[in-house]
Amino acid sequence: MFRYLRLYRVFWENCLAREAEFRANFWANVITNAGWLLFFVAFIKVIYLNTPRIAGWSEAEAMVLTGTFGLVQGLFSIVAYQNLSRLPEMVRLGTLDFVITKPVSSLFLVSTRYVRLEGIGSTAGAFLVILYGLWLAQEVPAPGPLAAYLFLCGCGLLIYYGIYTLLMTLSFWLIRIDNLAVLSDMVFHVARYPVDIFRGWAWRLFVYAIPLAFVASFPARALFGKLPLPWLGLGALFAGGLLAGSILFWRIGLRAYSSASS
Amino acid sequence: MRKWTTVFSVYLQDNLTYRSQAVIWMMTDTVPAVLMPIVWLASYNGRPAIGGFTPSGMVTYYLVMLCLTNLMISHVMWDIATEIREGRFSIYLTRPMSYMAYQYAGSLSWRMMRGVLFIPILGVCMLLFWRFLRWEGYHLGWTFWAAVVGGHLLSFLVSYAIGLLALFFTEVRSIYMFYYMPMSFLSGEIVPLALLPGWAESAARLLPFRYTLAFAAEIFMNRLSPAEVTSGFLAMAFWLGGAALATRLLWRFGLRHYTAVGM
Repeated sequence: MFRYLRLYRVFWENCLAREAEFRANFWANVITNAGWLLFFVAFIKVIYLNTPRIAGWSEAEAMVLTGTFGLVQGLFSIVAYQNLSRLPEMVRLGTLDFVITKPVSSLFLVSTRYVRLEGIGSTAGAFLVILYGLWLAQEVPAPGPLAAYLFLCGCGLLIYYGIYTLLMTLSFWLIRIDNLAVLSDMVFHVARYPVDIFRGWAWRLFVYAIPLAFVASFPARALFGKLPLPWLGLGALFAGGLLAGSILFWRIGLRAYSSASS
Repeated sequence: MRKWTTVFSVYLQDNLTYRSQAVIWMMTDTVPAVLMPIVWLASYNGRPAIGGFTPSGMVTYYLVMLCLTNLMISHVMWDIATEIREGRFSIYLTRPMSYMAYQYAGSLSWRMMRGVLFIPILGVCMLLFWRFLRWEGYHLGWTFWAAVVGGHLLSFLVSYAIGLLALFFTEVRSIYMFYYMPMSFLSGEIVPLALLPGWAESAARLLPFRYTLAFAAEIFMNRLSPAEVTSGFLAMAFWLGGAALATRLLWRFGLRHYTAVGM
């Protein structure tokens, strides 16, 4: 464990040095990410020009939801997003060889090798959106809901990681599909919207089967003190389950890896 | 003409090997187009209409826009930028057809394949919203088809011109984002233009984005008066001319900048 922390610190230092080389590119990416965040804020604004509520969600709540999704996605993008999205290419070209021959967990190395520092910009921006949402609601969250919120955001991050890893691991079999990452982005697109817009089977699908509701919807509701406590337990259960499931699936996938280059 | 059809069929064969990718790309248009009606349907709260759209009209709007996106919107800039960055662009300079013709053939063949693959996806979408679908005297006359063809050409020319910007700049992805962001609002892709704030709707009428997509949908849904249709076609013609001019200028000055990486 301690070894992994030390290793991760080296990754950070290495990536800081890398980013310092390409500063213009770094700022271009920060601006693009901030642009997308503004885009989603404008989107919420436009919708609420035409309606006071979406499935019971006020504008302030939807804004917190947007910010929360940005926060979870931003944190995920700093740590793992770009790394995992390179997996199909590594499988196709056989460069995964360099990973599996190293004396560390291959999933750890594949997930965390490069730190996306520009994700810090969008994460900070997402935080501002959350504050804006709270300001719209004229509400200061109490310690209880705030703790529940942070806890669920943590679960959301793990769920995001688990689902994303499960999908990207498919590239061991679907070698010819190089835009698996695009497909995964579409799955997570659902998490941007309040889960309550869905009714019946679709609602149950995104809560119990593909628990995207835990990425942003449920944390946002928890922050407003509107989420019953048992959901926290379920969120932890899904987070742990998906993490374990993705590690297991990774091992199965690795066995199907044929090392294209050698 | 014969060389054109040859190029076209080569591109078609090339694209056919990537059909699973095409399906995934189509999902990027489909998922938001399915989610948006669901968002709106959860927003009526008992009201009969939002911005003149009944629930049935709203669902129809997004499904029509989804079809039109598949037919009309071109994304050639990504290919052009890759070819320029990697130096493969040079090959085309020595060939007997213009680069634009190659790109158009490629884009058209990709579009045709997508069109065929799109039919089952559309079927699923229609099934999802089955109880909201109603034919309310929608317009499929020649003005609609003219708007589709004109919009398709405009979208191609604009994305081609933006693609040529890669001759001047090495990092173009950020530039493209500044094209896609206003486009998704002002082309009516994510919300009908009538639901935008007044100033944004007026801006949309002046800018080219509306004519690449929403204009055809608005004609289809009978939302425009004859005078608005005429002025719309005039604006479209203006932007077609402007975009064609831009491609020529970018081509001429861009070639002087081009460094032919890999030579």
